[in-house]
Amino acid sequence: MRTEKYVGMIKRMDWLLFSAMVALAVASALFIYSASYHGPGQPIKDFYKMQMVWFVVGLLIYLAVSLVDYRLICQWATVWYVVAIGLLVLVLVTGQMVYGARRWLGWHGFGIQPAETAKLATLLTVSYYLFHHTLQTRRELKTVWITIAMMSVPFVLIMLEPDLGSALVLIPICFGLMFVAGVRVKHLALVAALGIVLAGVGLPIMWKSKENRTGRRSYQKDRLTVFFHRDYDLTGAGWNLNQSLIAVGSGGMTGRGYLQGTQNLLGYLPRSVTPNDFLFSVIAEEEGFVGSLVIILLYAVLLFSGLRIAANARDRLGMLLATGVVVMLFFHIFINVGMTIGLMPVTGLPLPLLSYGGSFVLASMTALGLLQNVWIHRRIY
Amino acid sequence: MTLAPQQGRALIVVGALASVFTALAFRLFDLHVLQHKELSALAQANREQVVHRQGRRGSILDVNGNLLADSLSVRIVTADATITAPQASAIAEKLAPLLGTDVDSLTRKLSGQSRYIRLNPRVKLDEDAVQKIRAMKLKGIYFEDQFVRSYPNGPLASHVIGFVDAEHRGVQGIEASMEDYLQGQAGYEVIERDRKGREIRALRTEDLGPQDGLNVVLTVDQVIQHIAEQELERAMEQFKPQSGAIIVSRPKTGEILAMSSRPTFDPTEMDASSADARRNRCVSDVAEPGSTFKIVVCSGALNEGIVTLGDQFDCENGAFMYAGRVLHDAHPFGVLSVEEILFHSSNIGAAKVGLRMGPARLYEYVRRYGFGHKTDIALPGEVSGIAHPLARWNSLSITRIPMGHEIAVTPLQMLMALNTIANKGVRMKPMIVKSIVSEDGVTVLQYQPRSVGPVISAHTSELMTTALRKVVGPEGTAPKAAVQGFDVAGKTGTAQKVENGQYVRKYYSSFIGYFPASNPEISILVSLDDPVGGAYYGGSVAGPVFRAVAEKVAEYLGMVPQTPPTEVTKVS
Repeated sequence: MRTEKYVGMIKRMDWLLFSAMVALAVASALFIYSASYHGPGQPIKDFYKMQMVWFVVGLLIYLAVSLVDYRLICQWATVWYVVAIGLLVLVLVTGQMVYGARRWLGWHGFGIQPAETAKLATLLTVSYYLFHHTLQTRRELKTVWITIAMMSVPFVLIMLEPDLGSALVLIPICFGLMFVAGVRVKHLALVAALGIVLAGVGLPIMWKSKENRTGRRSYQKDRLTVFFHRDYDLTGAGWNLNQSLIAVGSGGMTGRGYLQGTQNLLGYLPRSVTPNDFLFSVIAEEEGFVGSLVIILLYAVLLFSGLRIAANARDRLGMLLATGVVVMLFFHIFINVGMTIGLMPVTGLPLPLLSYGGSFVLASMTALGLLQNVWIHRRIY
Repeated sequence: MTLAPQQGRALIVVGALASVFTALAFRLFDLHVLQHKELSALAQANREQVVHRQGRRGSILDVNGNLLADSLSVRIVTADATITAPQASAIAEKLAPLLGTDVDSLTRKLSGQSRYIRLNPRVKLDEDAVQKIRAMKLKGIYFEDQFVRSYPNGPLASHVIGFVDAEHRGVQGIEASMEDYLQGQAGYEVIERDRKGREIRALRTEDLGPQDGLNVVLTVDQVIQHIAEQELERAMEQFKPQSGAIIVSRPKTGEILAMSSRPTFDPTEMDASSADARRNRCVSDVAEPGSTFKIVVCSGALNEGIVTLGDQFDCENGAFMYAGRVLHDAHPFGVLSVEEILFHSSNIGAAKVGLRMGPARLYEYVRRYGFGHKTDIALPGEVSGIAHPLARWNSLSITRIPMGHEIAVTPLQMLMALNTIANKGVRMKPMIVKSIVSEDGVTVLQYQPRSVGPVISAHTSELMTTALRKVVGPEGTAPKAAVQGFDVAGKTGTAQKVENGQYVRKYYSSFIGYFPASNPEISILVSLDDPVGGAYYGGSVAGPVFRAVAEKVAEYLGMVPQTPPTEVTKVS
């Protein structure tokens, strides 16, 4: 009886969404392999195998998350939120220091990034919170402040790690949710203006104090300078962006061929971060415009399916959840791809499903599981 | 139907997403397609590097295969400034003491844009320094093997061998004249380098190997060259002339066995030498030869049948008035035969032979002996000397040219004229390159002795030899040039030098001679420009040098003495 129910649910899955996800996962393994390939006879790191393990684990979570009714999941929102905050505090206390930041929880070589769970938990909680408003109350300014407050706790904690990119993702998620939930645009604009002023004043002061403390120019400032001045410090801070642009451009229409991209092969794309942050550059170099367009289209399938799911959700909670997931994924895609082609400043935001990294693969698949969940439990007329 | 507010907002979200995706696609098209060319070129520039490889420059060998100039492979240090730039000063501080350069200039080189800089093009690195630099594991610093020119004998025959410039191209001597054979064909290869600058050999796209140059074998014999240099050095110390030259040759073939001049230079220490010292005076300097030139007028007159060896000329007791000017002899003579004019070296006698010959015929012989023309020896910087055409002769010329004035010749030209007499009247072209040989020993080109043509008859040549043998006899001008065990035929020269149009009390002393007189194997020229210390006659200054060189050369070549040593001792 139960099994039949689940089989029925699986049959009702959005197979287009699922196919796009699988296609991206396959591409991920292929190009992480390429990014680890240094030429014939050279040792290859096991990144691509690890990634495949993550996909298998992720698939199990995906199924679990998509089959348990999302309304049930959301009833536990407070718990998810508290657990996520707890993990964020824990990582600040006991996390491993890597490159000057505490982002990892766990033991050497195997661990999770609490920032990823926090993104999902915040998404769930804010959706659940906004869902419980009537047409009237959600038009009150108070709703906006409470939402901002719910977002601020994880935001500040993630900033403390520090992980500016991940923290910033929370902002479009919450704004997207509020916007779709029907919060007055006037209010949103007010808060946004306030935020911009705050950032305009706060960030320079923060950088200044950091520079005074470490005696070094902060890397965020460097990254912004690189973004605005394409020729800035090409052998240092500007290296990654410059080499990424070269990689993309040398790909041409059809690319240089799989495992043939010299920018990647010879290490001009930075080897340490290519599997995570610059995987798109590898694809662009080796598969050309055709290849990168296919990837962009797969993401478009993912996101527009998400929006279709939002539109077809049985209730406003489902709609909000689906929208939040779409915004979260979209933000990652836009920032990462934008970074590799010089449209956005360099930040360490990974590409959903493609980039190497267990935590984000699991987070992305959980998010996609939620989408599927909303679809499976849609009202069928 | 009106849209619910959420639906309207959903549309906005969809629109925003769609436009961002379109923007991404446009930017990708821009980079992938529109900027493809420029960015591809950058990708290529990133990794590709054209490395030029020298071919090995051929060696220069003496006639017996001894190395006179060699190319040795040495390690040089190169840098890729695009990699070293960030740590330029730190790297420079480590490398400067080992490379023997100063930190500042090295820092400047290392912080430039060039992807290929040679850091020690001149300094030879020893293996120890190479190991030390290697151990530093500096990024962007590489080693490369390069050839440097080596002259194992230092200054020996430096004027003949010459030297190369920083680009390894011959500048002087054989290095320059045989450049086409010596220089290798440079090759190049396009290699790919990874970010750390290591070559990816599997990706090597073009590889045009360099070709080695050919070896040049000279007619010069290292041992005879050494003898000539040693004796010239000794003469330089003894007589302190401004310059000096010794040439040793084979009259029958024109082969140059040794060619040496002073001042000289050491090609391994080029910075220490002046341009003046680098000039090969044997081919580049001219002088009025003086009495050695009497062989031209006398052989010419004999050959034309105008005089015989026994014809008598009144030598006016040392003062001969002609065309309003008085011509002097060093020693006053009465009546002399042509033979006596030669071995006593009478200026007045030679002038009278010249007068009897007439300008046209005298000039004919001057030209036939090759004066006023380059000998076309395979050495750069040769000059043709000065032999005025008849139209520019004045009334005195007919009396001055026979005694070797009003004419300027190179030492090589003078020796080649003497060789003509020694070689039965046939003038040979001087020959200094014997063959061109590839590195694996295959002879590519064999040079043959070449005659320019007969100048005098074999009979005249015999008559001349008879007269010239007496020059080293007890009555001659150069008894000190006599060689133990061998008949020597020769001629002295003591030319007064001209400074600012006036003859001054400075002399150009020389001796030219060949032996054995009956079958000449070796001819030698010795000239000393302005010897100091009293003695200046060619016979007493250059004669003994000739003798010393001749004796050692004869011994080295194993020439069998014709006369018992005792007889010669008595004579001299």
